[in-house]
Order: sequence, then structure tokens, then C-alpha cells
Amino acid sequence: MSYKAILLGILLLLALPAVSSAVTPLELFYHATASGTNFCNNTATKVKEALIIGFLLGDVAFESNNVMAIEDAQSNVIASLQQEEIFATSLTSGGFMYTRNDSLGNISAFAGTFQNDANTGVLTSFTGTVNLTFQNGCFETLTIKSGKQIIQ
Amino acid sequence: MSYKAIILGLLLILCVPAVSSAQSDYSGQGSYQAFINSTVKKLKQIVYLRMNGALDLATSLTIANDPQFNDVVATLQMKDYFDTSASAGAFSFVQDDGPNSNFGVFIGTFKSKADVITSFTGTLTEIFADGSFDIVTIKAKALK
Repeated sequence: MSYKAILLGILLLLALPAVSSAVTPLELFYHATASGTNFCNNTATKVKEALIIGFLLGDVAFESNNVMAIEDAQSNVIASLQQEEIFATSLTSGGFMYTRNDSLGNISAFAGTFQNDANTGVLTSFTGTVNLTFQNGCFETLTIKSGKQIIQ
Repeated sequence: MSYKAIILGLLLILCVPAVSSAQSDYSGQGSYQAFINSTVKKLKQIVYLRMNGALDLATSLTIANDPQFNDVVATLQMKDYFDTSASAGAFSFVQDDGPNSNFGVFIGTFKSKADVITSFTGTLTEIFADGSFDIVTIKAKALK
């Protein structure tokens, strides 16, 4: 075996983790703005707030199973939803739906559209509507628009 | 016990089924964002809604594309309800028919008169057994 073959083998081994992390990036978070109405304690309150939206698997457009976390600006989790459906409308866009029923009274549904990088599946932007109901009897309807990806 | 009390009791018993089976129909504009067959379409159409039960009791909400309620979009159960004033309030309805089946959440506000809803508006997010899903904004008034 020549030294060239050995060097090639070493280079391939070193390249593997880089390739795998590029194919399946771990969780990614995005800044987002949300507007809608919060219903709680016999009052309906118009809300406009900053949110953080996280995806357990960052290559969202390529995943058939995923989790979306909706967090407030302080990273407190408001709801965590399971992906129900996703489809591409083109190489760089699609629609997706997430739901949650934890059997405790937290029942929610999100549906929306996204733009994605054709090579990585990472979302470049997304928007959608989420209806959230909570076990304490409060509920909320929000329109969400993503902002920049949070670099960690 | 006087006969008047007995008659009153009988009348009350007879009234209970009438109250619980109360049914009100509504119609209005439905603004759809429909996700189906790898396409996202926006469309507007008249939707028909039926509320079963009194407002302050367990109520179901059926949303259909026709006044005969043959083409049903969703049937949801009331989850939460409260008044924001003497003639207005807010409610949420949910549907969870199990894995790979229909699932949806409707949240909205209503106007009422004597505990009867006269009009309401809200947003439905619903996924169907075939994998298609909708966001529907509804504005409805009572059918006379």
C-alpha cells in the first residue's frame, strides 16, 4: 500500500464527521415574530411578541419526523409539537404541519409554509398559524413569521 | 309533596333533553389556505357551521362545505369557553380522532344574546387522514 493510499484513507476518515453533520444538522433555532390574540382569565388580549422557534433536526425540509419547539424570548418553552406532515412544493419550498396532544389538556396545531436550502434542507424562512390550548384553560392563536437563524 | 311540585319536576325533566340537544346553524366566509397534493392553494368559499348544545354546556362544532352538512370538514368538541362581557366571549374547540386521522384546533371569539351565539369568528388549523391540511379563517353569522 502506497503512502498516497494511506493518506487518502486518513483524509476520508477525517471527512466523515464533517459530511454527516452537513447532512443532518442538529437542532436549529430561529428568531420569530408572532401576532395574534391570547385568551385567558376572561380577557382577550392582542399580542405581538418575539418568539424563538426550534427544530430538533435542522434539515427540516428533508425530515419525515421532527419536533418544533415554540419558546418565548427568554427561551421558556410554550409548546413542543410533533411533525405530522411535510411536503415540498418545489426544490426550495414546501408546507408542513405540527400537532400536540399531551393528554393533559395541552392541544395545539401549527400549519405553515417554508423556504429551504435545496442542498441541506435547512429552512431559510417560514411562516404559519398556530392554535394553542393549554391545560389551565387559556388559549392563543398566533401568526408566526420567522426571522434570522440563531447561530449557536 | 303537592301536585304542583310534581308537575314542576316533570316539566324540568322534560326540558333537559331539549336544552342539551339545542342546535344552531351558521354560515359565512371561509378563507382557506389548503395544503394538498404538494400544492398550497388559497381560496374563499361559503362554509356552514353547526353548534350542538347550549353555550355553557359541552358543545360540538361541525364545519361543512354544504348547508346539508354532507361534506363535513371537521367536527370538533368544545374545550374552553368564557365570557368577556355580557354579550361576547371566546372559545376553543379541538378534534383528535387518533393516529393518522383528523386532528384540529379552532380558536375564536363570539357575540351572543341570551346565551345564544349570534355570530363568531375564528381560525381552524386541521389535518386530515389523507395528509392534507388546512388553515381556515371563518366569519359566520346565525342562519335564520
